[in-house]
Amino acid sequence: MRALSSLAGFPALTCHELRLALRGPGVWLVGATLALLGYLQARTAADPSSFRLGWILARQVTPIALSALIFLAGSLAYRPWRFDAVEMEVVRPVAPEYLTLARWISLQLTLLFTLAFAFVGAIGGQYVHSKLPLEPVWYGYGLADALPIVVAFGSMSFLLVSATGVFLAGVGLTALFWFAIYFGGDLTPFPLRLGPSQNHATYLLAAAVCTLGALAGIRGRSRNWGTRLAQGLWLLAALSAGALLLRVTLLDRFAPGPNSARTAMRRLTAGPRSAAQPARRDAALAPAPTLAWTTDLGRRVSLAGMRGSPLAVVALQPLDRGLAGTLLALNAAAGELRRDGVRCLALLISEDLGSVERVRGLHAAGELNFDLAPEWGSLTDKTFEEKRPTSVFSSLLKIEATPTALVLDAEGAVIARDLPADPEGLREFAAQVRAAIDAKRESAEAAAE
Amino acid sequence: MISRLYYALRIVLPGLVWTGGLSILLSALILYGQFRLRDRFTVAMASSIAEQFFPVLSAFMAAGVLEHETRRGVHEILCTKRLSLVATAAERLVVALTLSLILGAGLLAVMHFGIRPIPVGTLLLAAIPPSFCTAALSLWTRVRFGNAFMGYTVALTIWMANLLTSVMGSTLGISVNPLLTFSSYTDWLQAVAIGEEGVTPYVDWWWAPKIALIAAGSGLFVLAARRVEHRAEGE
Repeated sequence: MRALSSLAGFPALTCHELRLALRGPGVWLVGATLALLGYLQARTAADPSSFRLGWILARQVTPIALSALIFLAGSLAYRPWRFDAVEMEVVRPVAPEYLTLARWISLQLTLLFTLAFAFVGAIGGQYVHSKLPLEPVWYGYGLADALPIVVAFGSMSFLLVSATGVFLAGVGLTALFWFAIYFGGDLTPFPLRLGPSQNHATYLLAAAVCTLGALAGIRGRSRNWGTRLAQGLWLLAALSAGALLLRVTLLDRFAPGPNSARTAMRRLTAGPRSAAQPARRDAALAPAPTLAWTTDLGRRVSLAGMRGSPLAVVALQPLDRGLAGTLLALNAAAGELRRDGVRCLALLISEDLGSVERVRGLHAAGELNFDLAPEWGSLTDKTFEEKRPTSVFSSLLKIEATPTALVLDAEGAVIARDLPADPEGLREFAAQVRAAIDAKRESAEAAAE
Repeated sequence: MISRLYYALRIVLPGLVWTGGLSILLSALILYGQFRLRDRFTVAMASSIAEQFFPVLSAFMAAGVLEHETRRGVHEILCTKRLSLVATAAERLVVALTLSLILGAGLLAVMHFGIRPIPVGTLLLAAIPPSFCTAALSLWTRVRFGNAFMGYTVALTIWMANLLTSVMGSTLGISVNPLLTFSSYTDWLQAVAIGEEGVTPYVDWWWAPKIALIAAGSGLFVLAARRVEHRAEGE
């Protein structure tokens, strides 16, 4: 009976908790600071497009903003202790689980509201200072991309403050965990890093574990562990924790990341010299390394499999300037080259494997005439290091800046490199690729004679 | 004076159990990272730790120094002080700042002897102005809003904003906030390392932000002390 009446009053309870949360000055102070930082991002950006700003806010600003949001979450979770109202939870007409859930939902909505200030600040900055069109959808995607880590750390802070009843203990331990992950750099296991979107499910699972743990633990406070609901919640929390561990292990071992980069590099450098092809910028490579990727359409492509016809490979990064224009120009050039029997492959070099879907969305004008695939890693001007793996493709082919393009002949040998691949350069791209192929054919004929 | 500071320490210390423990854990994490990546350790990195992390430690320790007196229902304790309330607040702040700097000095000393020699004294001096500023900010917000959590949150927010503007600055090649930046000495060390000293005034005049931070911290401390006095009078 109590559960049914609790359910009926649940939306009103959540709204009430949300009102209480928004009444404090912390939300507004942190929000104002984030709005200022969002505005500064737009004001100082070299390419203040909505796509780029949404990307930066989700993957660079939010991980730092977590430091303040964790404290805000802890402060909201601590409210019953601050006002010595913990025991009142037991005598309220709603079940304690509903009350905890309402407080958790209101906390997450408050954190989202606070973070949204950064996006509003950036939108305002772009509107005032940029001549590029304002596309709110990219800010929406950015906010969605930022959500999993905010929900996870907010839930962790909520759980630890609720479990310990000590503000500093709960918040401090969460903040230490954030600190270790954010500042850990290469020491942080890749499946736990804050930016890449392939880790979102990991953080959502972590949020589920923390929330279920907090809900299950609420009965423990009143020394009533034995209810079926509490037992069910503990079981769900344990299952979620198991799924979390399994996911982290699988991501670490099998998904594209530092381990797969090391393995690929070992495979390529351990074999005969022709397979590894240590790159020399001044010399043709014959043939290019046998690397493979999965495209945005789920198709497997490899440099070895694409032999038989010439191939143009364009290397891009999500934060390249004028990426939408680049895709448009590349699509036109790829269509032209396709008629000549030349295939085109665009590699998006990023630690975020979900970047392909986002970048694909930049090209709204129908199908692409080229394959678009993610290449895990970042660019480096040094040789590949086992301790700090970077993109294997760019390490082997010595790609130090993007956008750039290279041409492979039908045997897979690099016959031209460092072709300009910005929107202006791509206007002449098809002609440059044809010229490279013709030059190679002529030199082969001359050698035969 | 020493006895008064010792008295302040005895009052402040019990409230710093969790803060102290977490600060030690944080320092241990920093040391672990630096020892694991010792091949990349430089003086600029040590300076960055001193200028970016010691202020966080100071803010944590300073937020609760008047916790006993400003908790709800015991404001009258403030009225019974024999010393002036400004002196009481100053002593507590000095004690909190000293504790955080002792911890920071220990951290730098371990790096100095364990990884690579660094100018511990200079780095500690460079860390004092930002630490004082965040400690005063933390104390003021705690007293102003009547809530220690606000002290932590606001100090963390300012620290976060400073860190982000530093990151933006290094990406853009400009300093977004050259006057109140915490990391002016680190910026100068990095400029020296790449042979670009004498090129940009706001990097070469690294001491100017230090003076500005001391001034800002003093202003915040005066605000906090006046607020404490008003609360006592209000009772």
